[in-house]
Amino acid sequence: MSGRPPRWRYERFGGIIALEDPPVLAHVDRDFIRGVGIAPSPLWERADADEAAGEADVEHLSGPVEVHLTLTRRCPMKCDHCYTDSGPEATDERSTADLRDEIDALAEAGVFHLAMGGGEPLLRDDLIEVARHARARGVVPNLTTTGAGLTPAKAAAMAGLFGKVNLSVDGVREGLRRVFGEDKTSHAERAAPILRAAGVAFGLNVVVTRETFDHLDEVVAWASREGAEDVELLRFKPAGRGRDVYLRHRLDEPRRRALFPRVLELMRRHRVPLKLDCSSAPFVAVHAPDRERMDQFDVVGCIGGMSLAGIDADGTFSACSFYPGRGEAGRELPERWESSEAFAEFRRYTKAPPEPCAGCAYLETCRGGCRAVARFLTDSVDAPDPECLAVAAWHRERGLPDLGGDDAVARVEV
Amino acid sequence: MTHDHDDLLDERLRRALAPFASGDADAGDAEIAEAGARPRGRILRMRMGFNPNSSSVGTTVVVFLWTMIGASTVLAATAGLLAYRFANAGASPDEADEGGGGEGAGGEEEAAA
Repeated sequence: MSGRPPRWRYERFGGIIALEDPPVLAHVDRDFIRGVGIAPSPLWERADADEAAGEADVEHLSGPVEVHLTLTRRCPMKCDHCYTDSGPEATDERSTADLRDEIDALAEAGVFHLAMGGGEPLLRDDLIEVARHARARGVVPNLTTTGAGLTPAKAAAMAGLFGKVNLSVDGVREGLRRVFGEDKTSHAERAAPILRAAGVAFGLNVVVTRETFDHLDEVVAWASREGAEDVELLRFKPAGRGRDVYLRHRLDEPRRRALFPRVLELMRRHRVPLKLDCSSAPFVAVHAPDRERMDQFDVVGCIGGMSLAGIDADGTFSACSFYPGRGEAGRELPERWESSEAFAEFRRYTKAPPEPCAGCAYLETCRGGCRAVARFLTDSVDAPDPECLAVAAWHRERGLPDLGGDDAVARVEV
Repeated sequence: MTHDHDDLLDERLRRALAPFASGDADAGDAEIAEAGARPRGRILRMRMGFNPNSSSVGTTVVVFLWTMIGASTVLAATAGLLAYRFANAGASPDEADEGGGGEGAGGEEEAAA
């Protein structure tokens, strides 16, 4: 019953406590922190002083809670929609020493979780070594993979090392397996039993496009049969090669409206938990769910630069894996957390949002939708997400172009 | 736990929270719940599970299948679990820096912060 000791760090509001078994990350108030025997923090005094001076408008956390690490852009596959533009010919990759340095810096900054991906991270011979280093520094590594190249020996090394491993698939039925040019599902079908046999907790990732949306039922049913812990549904983003095919594959308006009800229905039917990513918040908010529930359980919109950051394969950081950074080195992320424009441009949205976000009851929860989509369609990171149904309706009412519609064009160079 | 969609909660979480969810505790669990004490303060926000995805952060939306009572139960039970884990951590604090943070019962290292 005792499990591994909790890890924690201070925040202006109190602190964050992380458990690994069961996996929980909790924001708690100052009373709670004091109540479990942790002394008050000087950070609280500074926060109180800021508030007294009317300068308490700080929403972002004291550092990232989670960082996405792109370990490589090498991949045996070359999917049409790959957000990292990965493929067999990619060569840019940090050394083991570079990764260890980055992890050291992130651990010092109090990062709790890493999400490692690629490319295909299994192609790195040092994957297990790097993950063990994260563990040694108290950071829980997690992994996304296609499963290509997974062996029982590798899976055995993963057991107890990674908090969770997700396998990427597009669809189960024949016509969907190669919707983006490569059959990832076959690798996942082979990898899932190997992971299960090794005792590695695993789930599935599915990029939701207008094609995959219609057959989610089959994927979730398969996940249930295979013993996947959950299925994470990822909104398609215009990044990497995904920019070239984004307008063709993104969800149309009826499917964007249907996404959240469909997710609830699939969970009830298949008894598998489903996750939606932060960029899908507008598609949840449009159904007017309990806002307090959303906040309490972290069903929130864009958290880039708030509690999340990414480090690209070239070792530079950004607020989000789908959004370009400013060329700043990943190992400097902690010291640049407060000052980098890469984070500032994500944080400022809710300070002076344009309409219709300014008048939206879900502004603080949704945070204007996906910045990567907004920039792609409007050429501005400060614009509302045009694919939000409320934004689309607002534009239509005023005779403005519906950039979420099928006749929209990209506003940034692809 | 006390809601209709327990099976959609992470199994480890469901098991761990059971002793702290009122009405669920058996004799052994009650002892654990008592050791978890009555946490002061409250949980402002909680995220369940890990996020392996290297591009996005996903949150489970199973919470929308819960009743208000179910959601409150999960938050309260999690608070009990966290308090219990701190009370029973018994681990020496690790390398906390000036910004604060650590592992285990915490406390001493912050006196210097």
